[in-house]
Amino acid sequence: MGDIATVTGLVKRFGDLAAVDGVDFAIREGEVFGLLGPNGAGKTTIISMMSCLIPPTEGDIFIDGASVRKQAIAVKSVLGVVPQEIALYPTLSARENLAFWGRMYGLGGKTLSSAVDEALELAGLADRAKERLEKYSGGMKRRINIAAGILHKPKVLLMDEPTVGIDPQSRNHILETVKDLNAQGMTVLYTSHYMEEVEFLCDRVAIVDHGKIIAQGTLAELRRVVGDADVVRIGVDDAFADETLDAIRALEGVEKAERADSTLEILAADGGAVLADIVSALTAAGEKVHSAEVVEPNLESVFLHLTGKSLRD
Amino acid sequence: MTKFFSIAIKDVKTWVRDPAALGILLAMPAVLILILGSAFGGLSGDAAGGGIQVAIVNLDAGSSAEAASSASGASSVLGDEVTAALAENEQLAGLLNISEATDPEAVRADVERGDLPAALIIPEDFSARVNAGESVELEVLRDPGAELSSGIFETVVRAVATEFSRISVVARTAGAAAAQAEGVTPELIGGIVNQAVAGATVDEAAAPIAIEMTEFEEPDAQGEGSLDFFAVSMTSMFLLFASMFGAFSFITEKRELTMSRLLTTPTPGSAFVGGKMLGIFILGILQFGVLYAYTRGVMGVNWGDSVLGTWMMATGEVVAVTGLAVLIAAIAKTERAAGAVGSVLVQIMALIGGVFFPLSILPEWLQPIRYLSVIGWALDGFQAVQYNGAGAGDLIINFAAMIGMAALFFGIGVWRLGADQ
Repeated sequence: MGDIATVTGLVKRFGDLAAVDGVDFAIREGEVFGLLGPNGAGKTTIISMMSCLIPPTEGDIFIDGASVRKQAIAVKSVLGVVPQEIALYPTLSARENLAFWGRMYGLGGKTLSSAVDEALELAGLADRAKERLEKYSGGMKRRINIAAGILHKPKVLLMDEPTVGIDPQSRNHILETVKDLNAQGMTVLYTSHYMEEVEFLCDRVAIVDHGKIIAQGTLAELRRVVGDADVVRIGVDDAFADETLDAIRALEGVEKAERADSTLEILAADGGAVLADIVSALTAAGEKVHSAEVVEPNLESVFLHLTGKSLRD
Repeated sequence: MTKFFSIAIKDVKTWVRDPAALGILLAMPAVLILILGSAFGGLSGDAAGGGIQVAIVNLDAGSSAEAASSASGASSVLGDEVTAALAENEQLAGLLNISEATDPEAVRADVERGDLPAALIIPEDFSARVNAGESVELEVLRDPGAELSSGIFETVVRAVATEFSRISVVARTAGAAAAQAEGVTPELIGGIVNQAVAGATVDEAAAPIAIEMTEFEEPDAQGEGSLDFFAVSMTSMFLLFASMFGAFSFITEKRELTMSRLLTTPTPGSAFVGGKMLGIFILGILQFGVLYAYTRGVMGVNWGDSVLGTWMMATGEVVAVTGLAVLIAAIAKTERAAGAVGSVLVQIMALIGGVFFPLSILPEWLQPIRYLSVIGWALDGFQAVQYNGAGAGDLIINFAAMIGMAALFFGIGVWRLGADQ
C-alpha cells in the first residue's frame, strides 16, 4: 500500500517556542500509525495541523493527495478527528449528538440515520441513545466522542489520546474498536503516552519528544535500538530520595535510571544480574522496595534509552 | 445550508433545555410585567371584572327655564339626569363602575396620571344652554393607555348625549306649541312630548349636546396603561438578554472545544457563525412570540392594532440582538465576562431606551438619546403601534435603524475577533 498521508518539514512556532520542530513521517494506507511521546511533546500540535485547525509555520502535510495549506476542505472531507477532550454537547442525547456531527460531515437522510445506528452499536450504547450525554459516565462519553468521528467512514482517522482518564473496561472497548475500524480498512493515526496502547495497536510508531521525532519504525525496529537491554522496574515510596537514584546510576551494568512517581525504571544490559545489586543499594539507603520486575525491551525502554527519561515524566 | 440550519437548531435545543436560559428569557419578564403592572395600577379594567372605573363631575347649576324642563317631566338640573342615566342604568351596571366627584381638576389629574381610564365633566351652564336651545359640550377625558375602557365609556356617553339632544329638541318644540294653545294641560303636553320623543330622530352632528374629547398625549406608567407600558418595555429589554445567551454559546463552544472540532469537519467557518446567529434569531423570535402571546392573551395587554407593525419591530430588535451577541462574544473571553458585559450593555440600553420611565420626563434636548439604544428604537416603534395606531409602513425608519445597529455590532465584533487572531 502507498502512503495516504505525508508530513514533510513540519514546523509550528508559537512566538519563540517551537512546539513542532522539523517533523517528517508518512502513514501508509490501511495501517495504524502511532505517535508516542510524553505530555507536551508536540503530538496534539501535529494532529491540529493535520486536521487543518492551525496552519503550519513551515512545511506541509498531504492527506489523500490534498495539501492542508491549500485544500483544507478536501483534506477535512477524508478525515475523521477524535479530539483528546470530549467535544460534545452535554444537554443533547447521544443520538442527537451523533446526528449533529454526521450532518457536519455532510451526511443526511437515511444515510445519516443508519450511520448513527451503526455508530451507537459500535460504541455499545444503542440502548441508551436517547439519554442526555450529561448523564453518561466518562468512559461512555469517550465512546460517543469516538463514534462522532467515524460516522462518515473517513479514509483517515486521527485519534488524539482517546483513552485519557477512563476506566479499564472503557479503555479496552476503545482499543478493540480501533482494531475493528482498522480491520475494516480505515487508516488510523493514534497518539498516546501509554506505551502499552501503542504496542497493542500500532504497526509503526514515531516517538516524539520536544517537538521532534527521535525514532520511528516498526515495533521490532524500535526495540533493536536498545539492543539486549532490559528494563528493571522497582516499586518504591513516593518520598524517595533523589540521592539514592544517583547511587543506583553508579552501579555497574546500569545504563540509565529514572523515577516516575513511585516507580524506578532502570535500563540495564542484563536486568536479572543487576537486580540484586539494585535492591541491596536501595535497602542500604533505607528505602523500601515494594515490588521488582525485569521486563523485555519495549517502547518504554526505547524512550528511556533515547531520552534518558521516562515516558511518564 | 443544511449545516447552517443544523447548527441553529442544535443551539435552540440547547437553550430550550437550559433552565437558567428559560428563567431569564421567559419567566423573569413574565413575572416582572405582572408585578410592575399590578404595582402601578393593576390589571386592565376589562380584565379586573369589577367594571370600568370612571368618574363624573357634575357642575351643572340648573336652569330658570322651568317651562321646558317641567314639560319634559324631568328635573330642572339636566346634569343630574345625565348622571342618573349613566349611573342608574341597569344595563351599564356591570360595565361601568361610576363614582361621582366634585373637583374637575383632581379628576383631570387622575386621568392624566392613568389612575382613571376615563371621566365625564358636565359643565356649569349645561341645563341653561340646553334649555336655551344653545349648543353645549360634555367633556370626556380619556387616558390613551386605557384605550379600550375609555373608548367604551366615550361610546356610552355619546349615546346618552344623543338621547338628551333628542329630548331637548322635542321638549322645546312642544313647549313652544303649548304656550300658544288654550286649554292645554301639563299632562296632555307631557303625553304628546313622550310620544314625540319616542318617534323623534336627531342628526348627531347637529345635536345641541356635543362631546368634547380630551385625550392626554403621552402614555404613562400608571393604571391600565402601566400594564401595557411595562409589558412592551420589559419585553423589549428582555429580548436583549438573548444576546447574552448567544455570546455564552460562542464562548462555551470555544471553551469546550466543540468549535475546534467543528472546524475539523468540512464545514466553512461562515456556516458556523451564520448558524449560531440564526439560532440566536430563532431564540429571540420564540421568546418574543411567547411573551407576546402571554401578555396579549392572558394579561389583556394592548399591543395596538397593527400585528405586522409589532412583529416588524420585534424582528428588527432580534436581528440587532444577533449582532450584539457577536460583539459581546468578541469582547468577553469567558461566560462570566460575557454575563457582566451583556448585563451592563442591556441595562444602559434599557435606561436610555425608556424602559424604566417615559422619556417625556427628560428635558426635550435629551430625549433623542433613546436613538442610541436598540431598545429605544424598538420601544418607539412598539409604542407608536400601541398608542398612535402606527402600521408597518410608519416603522420603516425604526426597522432600518435596528438593522443598521445589527450590522455595526457585527462589524465591530468581527473586526475585534480578527484583531485577536
